[in-house]
Formats: sequence, C-alpha cells, structure tokens
Amino acid sequence: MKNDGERKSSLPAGSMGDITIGRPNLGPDVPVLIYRLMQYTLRTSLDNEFGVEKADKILYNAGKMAGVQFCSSRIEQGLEFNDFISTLQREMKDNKIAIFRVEQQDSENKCFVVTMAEDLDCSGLPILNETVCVYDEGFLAGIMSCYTGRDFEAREVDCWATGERVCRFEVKASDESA
Amino acid sequence: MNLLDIVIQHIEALLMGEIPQFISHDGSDEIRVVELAEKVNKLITAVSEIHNFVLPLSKGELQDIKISRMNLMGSPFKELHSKLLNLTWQAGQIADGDYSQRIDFMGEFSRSFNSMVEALDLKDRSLKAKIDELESKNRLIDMELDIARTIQNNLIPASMPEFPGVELCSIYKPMDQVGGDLFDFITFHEENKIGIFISDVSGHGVPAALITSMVKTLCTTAGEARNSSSGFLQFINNGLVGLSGDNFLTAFYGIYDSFSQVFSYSRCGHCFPLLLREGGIWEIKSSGTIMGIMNDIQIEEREIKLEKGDKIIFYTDGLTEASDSRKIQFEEIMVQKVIPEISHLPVADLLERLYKSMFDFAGGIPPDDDVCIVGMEIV
Repeated sequence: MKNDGERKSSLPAGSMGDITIGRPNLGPDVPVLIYRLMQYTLRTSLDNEFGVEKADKILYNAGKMAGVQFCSSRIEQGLEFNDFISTLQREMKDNKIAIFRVEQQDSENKCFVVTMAEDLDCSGLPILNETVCVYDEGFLAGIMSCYTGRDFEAREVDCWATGERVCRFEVKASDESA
Repeated sequence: MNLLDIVIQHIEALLMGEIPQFISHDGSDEIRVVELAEKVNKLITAVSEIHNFVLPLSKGELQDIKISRMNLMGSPFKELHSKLLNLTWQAGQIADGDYSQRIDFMGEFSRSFNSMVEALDLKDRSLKAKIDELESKNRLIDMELDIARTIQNNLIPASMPEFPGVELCSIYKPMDQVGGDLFDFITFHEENKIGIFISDVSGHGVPAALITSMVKTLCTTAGEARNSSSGFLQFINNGLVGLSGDNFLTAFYGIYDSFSQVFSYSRCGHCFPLLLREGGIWEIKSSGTIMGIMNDIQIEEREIKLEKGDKIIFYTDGLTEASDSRKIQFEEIMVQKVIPEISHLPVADLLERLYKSMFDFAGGIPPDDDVCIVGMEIV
C-alpha cells in the first residue's frame, strides 16, 4: 500500500464502475451484513487511528459526499419539494437503503424531522445506548445540500442502538449558509 | 405485610392496569427480595412512562410526548408514534394537493390509505376535467354572447337622428352582455314628426334580449300604427302576446310634432318620463298596463304642449332602482337633488352627469339591471 499523492479513484471524479460487466454472475447486490462488516471495521480502524470524535467527523463527511453523489445521480434536479421527497422515498426504498419518512417540516426555517426505518447501518443492532448512524447523518445532509444548493447539517436524535425501532434525524440548514 | 407480599401486590396492581407507588424498603429484607423490589420499581417507572405516553397518543396528541431511550418496553409505541407523525405530515401534503403520497409497509392500513389517496386523486382529476370542460363551454357561451351583443347593439340607434328644433341623446348600459332595455326613434313621412320609444323587458340576459329583438321588429313593422301613441303600443302588445313566455314588457311611446309643438304620448306600466321646465320637474303621467300578457289592453293617450327649453328624460327602472350599500334607491335623491342641480345643462351633458351620479351613488358598483336613458330638449 502506498500513495502520498492524489487517489485516482476518488469519488466525485470517477465512475462507480459498470457492475453488469464486472459482476455478470454475482450481480449488484451485497448482503447487509457484508456492508456492515465493512462499515464497522472501517469505523473501528478510524477510531483506533484518530479517536472517536475525528473518526465520526470522517464518517460524517464520507456520508455527506455519498449523499451529494446519490442525490445528483438519482434525483432529478429542480423538482418541487413534494416531488423531491416522493422521489427520495422511492429511491431509498428501491435501493434498499431505508424506509424514509418525513415527520415534520418547517419550510420557512429549512428544518425537518425525518426517519429512516430498517436502515443499513443500525437496524437490529443490540442496544448500545448511543446513536451510531453518523454516516447516515452525513448522507442526509449531503442529499439536502445537493437538492437545495445550500449547506445542510443532520443530527441523529434517536437510533435503533438507543432502543428506538426507527432512526430519527433533525435536518436543518447550516447557520453559515443561511 | 412483608416485602415479598408488597412486591406481589404491586405486580398485581400493574397487571390490573394501575400505576402503583414505588416500593420502599429499608434494606433489612432478604437481598434477593430487595433486588426483586427494585426491579419492580423499574418496571413501574417503565409502565408509568408508557402510560403517560400512550394516553395522549390515543387522543391524537402527537407533540411533546416522549419515552426515555432505554425504556425498551416502549419501543413499539415509539415506532407507532413515529408513523403517526409521518401520517400527519402526509395528510397535510395530501390536503395541499400532493396526491403522490403513498404509505409503505403498514399492511392493511397502507392499502386502505393508498386506495383513499388514489380515489381522491381520481376525483380531483375528474373534477378538474369537469371544470375545464365547463370553462371551455363558458368561453363558448361568452363568445356567442359577444356576438349577440353586437347584434343587439345594432337594434339600438347607432346615432341620434337629426330633427330640427329638437336635441336628442341617449345612454344605454346593459347589465349583461345583452339586455332587455330598448329605445328607438320612429320616423314619419311628415318631416315635422318624430317618435320616441323606450321599453324594458322583465328579467335580463338572453331571454330578455330575444324579446327585445321581437319588440324591435314590431317597431319597424308598425306601419300606420306608429301615428297613434296608444295604437303603436297596442300593436306591439298584441304582437307579443303568447310569444314572451313568462316575461312582460313596459314601454313608453311619444310623438312630437314640431309644427304644433305638441307631444302626444302613451305609457304601459313604464316609469313616468320627467319633464324639466324652468327649474321644475314634472312626471309625464298616463295610464296603461304592462304589455305582452293579454291582447287589446286599455292604453290612455295624452298630449302636452312643449316649449323652448323643455327637456324630457325617458328612462328605464335600472336608473331609479340603483341602490347604495344601505339598499336605498337612487330615485328620491335623483328627483330631489341631482336633477335640480343639473337641469340647466344641455341635455347631453345632463344625461352624462345623471348617469355618473347614479354610478357614484351605487358606490362605483355597476348596476344590477340594464340602464337606458334617453334625453330630448326643445331648442
């Protein structure tokens, strides 16, 4: 392993590959447990290397990049808000990311409460008494930032790992972008 | 009662749906029983919290209720709460017309809710299609009424006739595109005579306009009947009977002879014209019933000798029955105040001022009846 310079496979510039060519037999799907294996080993490595706070920040930023990428590639630009939410719900369901729902909407203050049920990161985890979906936080912030064109931040307030059966997020425009 | 009995009593209370007080103990009991008592106290806390959460939830109060994180017994209720919050949001979106909202993964409820939204969407689309269809028909009717208005405008004299020694003018404002008021000037072989006719069909709009067209036709085909004011009105009356449905007609017809300066006239249920002479106002009265109901009605014929400077205002009731916001009609103020102030004006200016006064009196709101005013001045 080496490379002190710039990665050639960095996300925004490169394609994610043609899976139909690359995996003609195995196909595009991966079990959730394998996804989690990567997510939690990566998280643990980051924790060990940088400490929890820094690791969380890296995961949040990674999720945010993914959110922007997901939104720009999967959701038509310029949709009305209701159409955007409908499309986002459908895309999250079709891609088996989570069951996405809106609980509250304060359009004036650009503030939303949304939930992700059966999400990839934590649904079914044992109770840990702490929220763990920091990647999803970034993912949602990235989606909203991409859709609105202004910076958003997301914070998980309830999580399967804290005893909820659904992950709840507060998503709002960043003060700096207001 | 020993601690174990108390614990059993508290568990029984919980099973009965009660929220008992915490069990207190002094630590002197057997350690396992104390442990059990503390567990029951935790159970009481959890059940109490769920109770306080579910009670407002069952009344539809979704805000400001919470179960603490580690109360795992409450998790299904928290999930229900979350779904209800989402449903509330979705219902709001649907109320705003977003019929793309659907509910997933909620079993029978999803199917019912989604069916309801689809049915609403279908009905909304159907209603909008009906509205579009009606608007389209309405536009067609408006176009046809515009054509009818053009035709009806041709029934009204395009310009005032030149008649020596008499100044004539008019204002004609139908309430709808077409109206039931009509006026006309009747010509004679003798150059010293002119007839002035004004009428008002009951009702408004297309039915009234159709009758007005009949009246106009009768006016132009009256022949010798035009020589007599009562004969002319009788001719029109008999021509209309049986053709005007439930509508009727009021009318006034007068013939002015410039040689004799005599104005002979008859009236059938119409407003009395006003004679303005030397600052005074007189109603030009005669008797006669409404027209179009029965043949050969009684119509009185009268005459009056006019003088230089005399003005006569012929009008329909749309002028006098215009009302202000208190539902007071224009007639009284017109006779007592408006006309005395403007009676000195040339008759054309007088008519303009009279109509404007009525319009202002009604608060700038267009009258809810056709308005027709004809002015005549002996010069």
